[in-house]
Amino acid sequence: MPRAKFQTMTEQMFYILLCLHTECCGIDIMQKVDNLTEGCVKVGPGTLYNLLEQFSDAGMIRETKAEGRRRSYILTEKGKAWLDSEYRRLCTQVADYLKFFPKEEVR
Amino acid sequence: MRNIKRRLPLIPLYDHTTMEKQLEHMAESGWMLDRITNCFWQYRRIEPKKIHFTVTYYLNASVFDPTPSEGEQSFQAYCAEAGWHVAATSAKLQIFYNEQEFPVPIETDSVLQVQTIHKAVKFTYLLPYFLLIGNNFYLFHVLLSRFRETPIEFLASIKLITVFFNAILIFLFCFNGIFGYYFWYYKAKKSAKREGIFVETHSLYRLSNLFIGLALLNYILLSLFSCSRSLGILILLFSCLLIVMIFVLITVINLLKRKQVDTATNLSIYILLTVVLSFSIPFVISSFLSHATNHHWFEREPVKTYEYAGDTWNIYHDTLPLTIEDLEEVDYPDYSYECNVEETVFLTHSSYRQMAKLNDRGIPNLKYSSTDFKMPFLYHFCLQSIFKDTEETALSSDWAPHFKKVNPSLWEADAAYQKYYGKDPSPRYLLCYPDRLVTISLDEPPTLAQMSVIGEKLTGIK
Repeated sequence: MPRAKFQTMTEQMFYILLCLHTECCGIDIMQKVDNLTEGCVKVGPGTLYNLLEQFSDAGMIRETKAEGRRRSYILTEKGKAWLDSEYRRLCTQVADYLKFFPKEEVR
Repeated sequence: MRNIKRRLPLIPLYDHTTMEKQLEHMAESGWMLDRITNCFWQYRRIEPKKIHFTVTYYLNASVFDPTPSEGEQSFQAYCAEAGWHVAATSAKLQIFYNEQEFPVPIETDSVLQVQTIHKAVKFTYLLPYFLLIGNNFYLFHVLLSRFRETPIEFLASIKLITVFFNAILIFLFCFNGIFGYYFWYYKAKKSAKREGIFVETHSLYRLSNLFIGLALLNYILLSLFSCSRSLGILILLFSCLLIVMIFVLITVINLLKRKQVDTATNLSIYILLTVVLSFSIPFVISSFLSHATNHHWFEREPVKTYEYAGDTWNIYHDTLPLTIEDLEEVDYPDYSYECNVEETVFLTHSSYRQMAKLNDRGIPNLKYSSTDFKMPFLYHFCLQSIFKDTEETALSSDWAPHFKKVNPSLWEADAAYQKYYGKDPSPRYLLCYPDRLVTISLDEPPTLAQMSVIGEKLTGIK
């Protein structure tokens, strides 16, 4: 089933929004995501730039300051709500998984 | 040893995978992309090394921007943070290089990547192709109509056949460009959404370049060898004029950019200049050609000329296989004997005219044509077309033109037809010989003796 824009979240979208729970410079997000996921999730600069533009246009984040080309952003209430719904979706999936594979079996 | 190399940008805008591979190959050969001009990609010499290239698109950039916008500079700063440096840019097209062994790619979301490419090429790549193919369909329609109406004249004209062949080449060029893109786009969109994998681009650009190259060569050969020499050279000169005008347009845009004129003003001047040139150049060319045609500049040299009704008329003394003198006694020294032969791979069409001066009335005239078919199926097709044409042009039953069979043996023909207008016979005949069709138009119906002479002379045409 094709994914509509912002209907389901990719890993990259998730971690970008997570990094913006506090004010953060856009350029720094690449390294932050890499550190947070220990290199499992990579966000390319082109993808990051485009997603920040789209999140900003959709009201998920807002720009807090601009120092030359270094722009900082922070999550908005709308962005937080979307992140929350994604968290609940992931928790539901985890719960469904644990019905068949109880915690003690997870290695 | 030269330190600069220039290459034509022959790869389609969306085919960034091929561009990247070519750039990487050039870097390994010791050439680094330096800048992109309106006509060339310019390379400078470097130490041969392995460099990664990425071709991406910044959608908010415009060819009319005097300098990179704030947004474009931000985009480039983001890429620089990951080790990607700008090699060259051209409006939306952004080319980066990275000397790290395993750099993080600029694009890591395949869905977003496919969307960005599609937005980048919609107006700059696809729209011109659609406009060209639409124009081509109209040209096909005009040519096919012409073929249906006058198939003999069409098949005898090297110019029309060349234009038709060129139209096919241009259609193939456009089809390859459009189909190639959409074939990749729908495959890439599906793969990105279902599997998160980016499908590399791969265009058949060499095939496209072959089609357009053949069309250009055709056009040049037609101009040089198939038109009269003076007309052909004039067509080429005017083509050069068009190229110069395009060059002027590009130079004006670049000059305005160097003077830091803002995007909106630059775009407005470009549109104004394009509109002015689009109307004025064709007007100048068509006015000149019209004037040249009216003054017979492209016609061959006549033996002599005369004036009638304010115009100059030519007199020729070509050799005709059949003349009025063969049919009757006539004492008139000022006849023009004109022969025009057109030959293609399909047929040879010869038209002959023996005409008195327009101001000398009561002098008999003679017009006839002979078409020799090199392909038998064309003979029957063209013959049926002549009959069909007379049926379709009938407006009323009173004077509807049509052909009636007459005795062919008198003409030494396989079949013969006389043209009627309603019930009135005319001195116009259609004669069918093996692989040859002859039309003849006399002033009066011929006698039996004249028919025999006509048949003998026209079967002997080589």
